[in-house]
Amino acid sequence: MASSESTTTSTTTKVLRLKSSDNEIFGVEEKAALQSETIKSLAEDGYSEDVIPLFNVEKKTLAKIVEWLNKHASGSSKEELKRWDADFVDVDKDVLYDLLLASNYLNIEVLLHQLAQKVADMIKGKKPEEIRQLFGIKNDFTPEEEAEIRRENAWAFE
Amino acid sequence: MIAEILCRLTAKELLCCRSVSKPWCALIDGPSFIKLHLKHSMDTSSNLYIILRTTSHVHYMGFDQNLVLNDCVTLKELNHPLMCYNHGIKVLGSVNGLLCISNVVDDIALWNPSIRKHRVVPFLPIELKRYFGTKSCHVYVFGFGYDCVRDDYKVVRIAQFGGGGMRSFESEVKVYSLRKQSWRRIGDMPYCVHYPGANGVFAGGALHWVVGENPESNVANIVVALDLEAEDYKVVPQPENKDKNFNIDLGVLRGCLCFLANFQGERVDVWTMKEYGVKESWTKLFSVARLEFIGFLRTLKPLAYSKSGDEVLIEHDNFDLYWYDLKRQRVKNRIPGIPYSFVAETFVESLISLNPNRHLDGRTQDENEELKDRNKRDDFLSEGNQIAPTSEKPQKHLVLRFNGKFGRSAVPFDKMGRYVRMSVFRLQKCNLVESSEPCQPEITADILSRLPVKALKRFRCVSKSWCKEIESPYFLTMHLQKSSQAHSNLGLILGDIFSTELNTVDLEKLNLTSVELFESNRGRLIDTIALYNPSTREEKVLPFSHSELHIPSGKVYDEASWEWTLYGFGYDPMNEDNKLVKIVDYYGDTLDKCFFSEVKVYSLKSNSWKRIKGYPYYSIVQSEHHPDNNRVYGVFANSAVHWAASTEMIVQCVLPNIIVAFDFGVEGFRTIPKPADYLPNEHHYFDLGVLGGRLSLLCTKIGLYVKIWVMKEYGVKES
Repeated sequence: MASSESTTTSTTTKVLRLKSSDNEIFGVEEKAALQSETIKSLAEDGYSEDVIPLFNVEKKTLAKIVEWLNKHASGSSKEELKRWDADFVDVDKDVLYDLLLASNYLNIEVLLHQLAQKVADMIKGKKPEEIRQLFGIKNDFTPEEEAEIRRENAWAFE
Repeated sequence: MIAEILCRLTAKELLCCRSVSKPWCALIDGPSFIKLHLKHSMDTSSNLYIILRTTSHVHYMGFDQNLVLNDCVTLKELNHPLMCYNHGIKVLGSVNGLLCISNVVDDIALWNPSIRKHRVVPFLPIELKRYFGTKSCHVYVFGFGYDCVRDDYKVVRIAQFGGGGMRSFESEVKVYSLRKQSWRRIGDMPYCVHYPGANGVFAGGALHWVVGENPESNVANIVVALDLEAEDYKVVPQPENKDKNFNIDLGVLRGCLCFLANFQGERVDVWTMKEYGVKESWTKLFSVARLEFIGFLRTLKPLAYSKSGDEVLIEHDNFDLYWYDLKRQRVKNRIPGIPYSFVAETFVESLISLNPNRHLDGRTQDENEELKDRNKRDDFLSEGNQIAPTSEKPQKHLVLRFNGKFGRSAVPFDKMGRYVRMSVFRLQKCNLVESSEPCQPEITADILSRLPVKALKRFRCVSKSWCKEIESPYFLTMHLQKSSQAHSNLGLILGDIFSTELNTVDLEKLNLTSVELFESNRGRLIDTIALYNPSTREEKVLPFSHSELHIPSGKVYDEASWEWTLYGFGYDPMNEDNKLVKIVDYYGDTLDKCFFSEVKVYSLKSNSWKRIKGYPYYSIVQSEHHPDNNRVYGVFANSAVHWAASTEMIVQCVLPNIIVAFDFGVEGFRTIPKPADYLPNEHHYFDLGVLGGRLSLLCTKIGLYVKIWVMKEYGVKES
């Protein structure tokens, strides 16, 4: 979807080609792609003519990222972007983690901020058990240790 | 990555997240995460609160929600850790989520309300011992800030003492470091503090005060900066202003120093220094006129920018909060639903620990044992014995041992500060018994000095050293100082005691040397006088003093003449002695110049009377207001006793027009200036009182009104 969009507009501006870990190639306008610091430095290192390999990002995640990059380079109004972003991050938690990892790897600060805020909002008001489940974290406290930790700030658990 | 997400949570949520797993716990407790979290909150203006302190409560409100929606604000109450007899509290500063607070007995604590931890700053007596004579006055100002080079939080106390004139002027500046957990004296400030109680404003790594060149000039026109890293003073350049007729105030907005020029309450210009220390970077942010507010324009304090940065929240006259619209350049709207009178501070939530050496301590296990022990005890004290201290395991053992030995579980933090004090006190007792080390007597004394007299009397049997300590004159003075500071409204309580019966609750509140003067005999010829201390239930009957007055020849002193007796009881700080002064005036029946008086002073130390120079004024007794109409009791404040008196004698009706003070230190009389707006011609009933150690003047026009003045700074007419 994103690739077709970019090919139609690629006649006038330079297009960078991004390759996902599963070898899918996405063409993105340079202006949009350079919002990623990682792509920017790769492009500066001479990758701009070839395909830029992104080994850490899968096809379906990269498609979403490219969608975001294009939208944020499209000159939409602030209000529209805000609404669009809210929809964009409204995904299930697995997709959210993939996007987070990808935006961290690609170093897209604005997107990273949005995603981190989204996850933070999800954590808010959750119990530690729920957070463990949410993040797949193993509880490595002994029951005594956990009780002690909880007791230190008992008021926060009310 | 996790840190990126977690730094967007609130402190409370993060405390919950600590129990998710060990790596999470370590991450959240780590200093770099704490800084990241703080930085994120500051950069995005999130987790920002406005603290409103009223006389009795500390409220806070979230900055984002209510204020922007212009709804009625919802205030939540904060329970501060310095509970005392009185809920009153002052906020001396707010930096990085730490508040520096002090209560009515001048206990100071650093407090992080977000994680509900605090640390009590040790009590620090004034070192300067010099006595500045009868006109002495002293001022304190505090400041609280952050030294980013040493990553340390510092409390600064500037004390200045002065008599009249330049020569008798001295100051003492001390800095408390949270990292070192101790006070240290630094170089004196070469300027004179004119606004006592004005806290330092923290910006650009320095604390700022508005000061004057010297004590004689009454103008405060210098902005001095105390750099917390270098600990030296600099004068901050001020913005250029053509009109010089203004008062300076300081503020801080998003870390930038603000300069407020108040033009006689008509207009306030607000400047901000975009680049710290660069004079050219002063920018006039806005200017507001009195007409834009309801009421006067005495003080203005910028608090914070709105999230968009287009508006500034301002506090007006400690009375209301307004938004100022920077684009339209006018006051936008008043924020409804806030308390009647308050002091506002901004506050950002943070996880900053009050145990700054926690991470170091883990690595230096083998360090000096004694030092560690002391730290542990300090930690315990500052935890207020709420729950076992947080960080280290050895500490926990220590506490448990104490608890085990004395069969006590942790005492819950009670609203009555006294219980907490008692529990802290017991800990001290454990220390005394358990370790034979002398146990820092100053700490013991400091703790004990906050206890009621009755308890002290009981604790004299704890040990010999305690008994000695409690009976020492130094301790008595300290205890009195603490208690009189605590009862700023003691006057009212005492009034009740005298008019009704003495009950035990009230007795506890009486301080050790507040000795009541009472007469056992109302007879005109035999006056037996005794000193009585209701707290210790000790009394001492004074030796009888005969009138030595010799009637000058040619004058007739007969049965028809009148006699006035004035008594005054007080304390002489110079000789550390309690003294009673008795003045007897004799008037002949002709009411002309037939007047002479006798003045005698009794000293408790020497247990004897002596006669001193005569009383040069006519004493006044408004007989209809005094039950025993030939006795007047003086009012004691600032080591002098005060009476209303008259310089002249008018037949039949002697009206008071001066306030006479008898200073116990030098044993001499002088007059006290009256308030500037006191109208001498109105025939007032005129009385003196004392409120919180300050002399006050009451004027009554019978049936019409009562005016009360309080002399804030003793001996200074303007106050």
